[in-house]
Amino acid sequence: MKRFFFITVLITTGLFFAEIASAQDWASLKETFRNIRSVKAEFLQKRYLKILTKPLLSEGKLFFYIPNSLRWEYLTPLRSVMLQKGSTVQIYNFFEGEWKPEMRESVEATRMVLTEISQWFQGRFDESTAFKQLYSPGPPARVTMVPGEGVNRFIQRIEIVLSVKPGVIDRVEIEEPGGSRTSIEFRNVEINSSFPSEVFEKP
Amino acid sequence: MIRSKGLDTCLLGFLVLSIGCVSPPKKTLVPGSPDDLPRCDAIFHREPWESVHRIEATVRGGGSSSLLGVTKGEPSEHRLQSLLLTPEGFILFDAELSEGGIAVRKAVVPFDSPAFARGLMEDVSLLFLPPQVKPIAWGKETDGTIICP
Repeated sequence: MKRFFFITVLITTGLFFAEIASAQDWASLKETFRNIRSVKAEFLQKRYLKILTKPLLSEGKLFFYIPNSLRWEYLTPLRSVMLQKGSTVQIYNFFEGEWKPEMRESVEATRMVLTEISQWFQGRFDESTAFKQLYSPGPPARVTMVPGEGVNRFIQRIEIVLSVKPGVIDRVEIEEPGGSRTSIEFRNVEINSSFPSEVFEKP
Repeated sequence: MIRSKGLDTCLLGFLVLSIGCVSPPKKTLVPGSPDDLPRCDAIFHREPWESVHRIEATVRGGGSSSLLGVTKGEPSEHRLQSLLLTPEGFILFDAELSEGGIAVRKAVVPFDSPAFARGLMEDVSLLFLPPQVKPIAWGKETDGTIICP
């Protein structure tokens, strides 16, 4: 009986200190992102589907400028681009030699996704309303995002793996119900480099 | 990455054929022998296979949509599974066709109608699975091409 009491106290104390450490970690995590004004990077997306023996590979590049300008562009296998500047979101597909506006009815969903990504690049992981967040200092440091009711029909868990370089995200892992998952690896990341603002306006 | 563009090409082909109104010139066939019969379904895979297609659509007014199609076939089980994904990898449609019928696992608007699921899976089945009955006749053209009506 005494042993169970001791274990219970140990676990409760551990959780209490974990909670305190977590609050400190969020603050120091935000601090590492404090000086970031822009991000430019390439990415490799691996889409693991249960029906395919090999993942679907997509390559692309992104541009981000605080607080909410984002260009997320796929170069292969389909060329498409999502543009966000403030509250304006546009999606274009490139085929038959020109950019054509997307007719998908998913612009609202895309806006939600782009808003989440914009928050990640600023270290504002704990501001998401759709996800609960857990921080693990690592190494490597990682933020685990667990969706609430509704979103969990599509996403089971998101894990954001941070680089040792302050303010840089190395990799994002997205798990879905049913076993499919997506891994996005960032490379050639440039912090606070300059680029024209029209990258967020024109495909 | 794109292992096949066959699906969209063939769908376009069917569309063109369905609106065509000029009968093709009648061809004279040399009757085929029983030895030619296996060639009728030789174009179909016998082993399990996977395929990734690019699907592009343009609508009047300039709107467009680009999707990835993923299909897996198990001919011996007469089973097909088809997915439609956005370029970002979101699954919009996921269904399986087997001898038990069509089971839709996921269908997002505008791909959520039973008619869409039935039409797509029947088209994919027509393209990739061999017919379950023997041809009623078969023959060869003068250049040796086998025709299996």
